[in-house]
Amino acid sequence: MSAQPVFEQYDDVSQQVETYTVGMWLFLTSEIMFFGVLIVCYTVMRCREPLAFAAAGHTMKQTIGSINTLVLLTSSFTMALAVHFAKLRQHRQQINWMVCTALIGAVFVALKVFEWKLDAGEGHLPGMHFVWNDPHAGRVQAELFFFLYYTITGVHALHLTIGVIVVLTMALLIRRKFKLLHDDYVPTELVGLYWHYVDIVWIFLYPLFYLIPPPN
Amino acid sequence: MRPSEIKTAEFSIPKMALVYAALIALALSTWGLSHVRLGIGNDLLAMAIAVTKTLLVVAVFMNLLHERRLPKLFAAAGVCWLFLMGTIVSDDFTRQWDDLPRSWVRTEVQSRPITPVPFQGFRNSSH
Repeated sequence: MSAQPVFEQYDDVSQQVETYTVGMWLFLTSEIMFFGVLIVCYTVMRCREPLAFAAAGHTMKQTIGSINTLVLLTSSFTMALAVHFAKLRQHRQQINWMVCTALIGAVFVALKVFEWKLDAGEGHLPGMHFVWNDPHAGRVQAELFFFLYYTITGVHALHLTIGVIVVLTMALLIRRKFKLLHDDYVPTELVGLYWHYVDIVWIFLYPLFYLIPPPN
Repeated sequence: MRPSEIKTAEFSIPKMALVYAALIALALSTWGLSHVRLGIGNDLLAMAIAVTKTLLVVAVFMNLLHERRLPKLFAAAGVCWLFLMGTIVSDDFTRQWDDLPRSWVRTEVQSRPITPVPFQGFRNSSH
């Protein structure tokens, strides 16, 4: 087992690890507020326009959304395994699970892009060419639903894409025995925290967008 | 602190696999629940399941259960800020159709009619 490097500004490894972790949680707190604003905005508009949002929500591709949920939960599990093996200093296993996580994340993004393409093909892309044929639900309100859908899921997919790139890069650097990542499990743990956070965001987006009950 | 004292994995793989199975089961139950008409109950139950899944991920996968107090405090701060924002927004949302206090209502400003003055040419400053 190689010793974990301690930088000069810290007393010991314990203080260093705590500082890293607190810094990451601080970043995640700002991210909670970032997605929180978007989700609260969506919730307010859905409360104001329940009919249009329910009608627009029923055009969502529920199967793809459900598969994506299972895919992302699986990626969270594989990331947890990668962190587990990083703590045990079993680098081979760690790299394998990290690559596996990144690949599963890429599958999620690919499915999301495919779904966006299907939605856009049905004319549900907000803008001048937006198509809405339901006479019982307002066109503008439905367009607002899709605007929020593309914005929130788009930002989420961007976060996941960044996660995929970071995880793959880290796996590559650990394989090449890059000292900062190879000797220290904490960077892997921090990326894991980010990955799980992105997963949690989707846990809330899935019922909000895909499983809207019909209004009474 | 010696290298041997460095933190090792707190959760075993079978425990993490159990949590993963629970997460999948909860995700499937969310999907199944959407096919039962419960009105507002659908949303409430879906959100309750989402919160349960979040707690599982945060406690086990993010390992917050075994973290020290300071990371727990920062994680709680994020939730508190979110709760505060939700409360303020929902308060604003539920009040916006109420009658505003009289002092807040903008009154019409009486405007004076403007009488046009005919143009009389520029004054020649050289004279």
